[in-house]
Amino acid sequence: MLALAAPNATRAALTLARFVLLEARRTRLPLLILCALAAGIGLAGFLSQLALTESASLQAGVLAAFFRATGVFICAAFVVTSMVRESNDKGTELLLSLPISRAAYYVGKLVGFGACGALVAGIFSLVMLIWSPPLAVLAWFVSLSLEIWLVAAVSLFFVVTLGDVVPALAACAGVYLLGRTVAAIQSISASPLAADDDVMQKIAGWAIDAVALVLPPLDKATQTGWLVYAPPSAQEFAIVAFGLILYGALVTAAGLFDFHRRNL
Amino acid sequence: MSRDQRPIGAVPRWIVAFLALALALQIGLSASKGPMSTEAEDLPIPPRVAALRLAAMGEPAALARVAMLYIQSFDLHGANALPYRRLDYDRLIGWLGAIQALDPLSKYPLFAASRIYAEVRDPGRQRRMLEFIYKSFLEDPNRRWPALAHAALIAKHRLKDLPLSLSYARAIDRLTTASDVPIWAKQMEVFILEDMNELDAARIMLGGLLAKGQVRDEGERRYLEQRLKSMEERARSQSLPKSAR
Repeated sequence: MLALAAPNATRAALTLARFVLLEARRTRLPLLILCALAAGIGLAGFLSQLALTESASLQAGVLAAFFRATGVFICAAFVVTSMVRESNDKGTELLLSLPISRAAYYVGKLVGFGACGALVAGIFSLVMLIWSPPLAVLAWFVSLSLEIWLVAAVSLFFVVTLGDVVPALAACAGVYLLGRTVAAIQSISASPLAADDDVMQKIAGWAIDAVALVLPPLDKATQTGWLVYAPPSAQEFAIVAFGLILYGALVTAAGLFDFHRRNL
Repeated sequence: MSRDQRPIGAVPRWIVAFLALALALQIGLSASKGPMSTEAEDLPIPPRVAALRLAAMGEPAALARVAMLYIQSFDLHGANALPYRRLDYDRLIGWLGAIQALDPLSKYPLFAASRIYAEVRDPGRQRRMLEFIYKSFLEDPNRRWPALAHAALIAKHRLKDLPLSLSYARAIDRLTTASDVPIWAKQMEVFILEDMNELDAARIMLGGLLAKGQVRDEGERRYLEQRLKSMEERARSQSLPKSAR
């Protein structure tokens, strides 16, 4: 029971997590983050020169949206390419031939990717402190860290299940974009202007509602508005954080299940 | 089970329990989200066409349709407590104009303008929407005459403004040159002047549109027929003696 609770398994998982961070450093991820910082600040600076008013909030808003998308994309791409490379090099088989359980391997990798995501979120958040108050940036940082960790969990699940870079990245992007837009899609699907007795429309509405049940709650997470207007209330933030943690746990459980069924 | 997979029994029980628990919690949390809190939200200020073109990233036809869905969602439903009858019509017209400019071949903006937004029971809003339809018609009469034909009926039967209605009917006759514009549309002035009620005029118009294949979309045909049916029911209930209603 609870293979991860064993000290050896925990140690193995943490070692694997440290190796993930080492890999991130050696694959020039920090340089990529620096480039993203420069590009984002340059873009926001250029746009703020064009603004007649609210140039500071425009800068903060553009930069926050850019950092959010960039952080998520970089981490998803890192997870997928790292896992595929390790699989192609037979590194997974080699590691699992050692006294490391599958659960420890999987969770160790996820902890490493999550820590990497938190570092990326931390660097971006430090920059956001130039334009926004600390409390708002703190809420944004925690939410972005959880969001990137969730995306890392989704990417890990898909790359373990699908095994290739393109399908895994495409599936991850699909889940992420749907998670961010499904609330708006549900709202549009409930439009009363369409015929009331249209069965196909009702079925489509139910299908969207059903899909929404198993999508990540990203529409309310990491809001740029927190930085530009006001940080979220404690209750609002707790709901967002709990939703992200719960979905991350669900995808991790699904990934562990699938990984244990896989014949390596 | 494929050769790549081991039996479910190979999965430790705690992982199966963890998965089941997480799935149940996720579905429970999503399902327990109450209805979105309603707030009266008006349309935002319409974007410039250039901004919409930029946002379209080379797909103006797709964005125009999605933008129409977005406009359509501003109604008494979901998170919005403001019915479209009370929307700011200047903004609404700005949005419809921008979407029309983004994709001039789309008939969605004018369909919505004539069949939804011009049918509100507010003469001021109706007149503004009819004016928008007329201006759009002038840019491309051969494609946009159906919206103006409906606008002519609204001007006659709802606004009781015969000169306005006749001016629209004459504009269709004078400015349309395409061979697929039906005779009844070119001669609309005649049945505007005739002592015909709104229901009969609507029947003729819908029948003409369907017969000429002008209404190809199934959803549009259903919507128009539904409108006609509700007009028939309204006319029937009005013709009944008060005691029978």
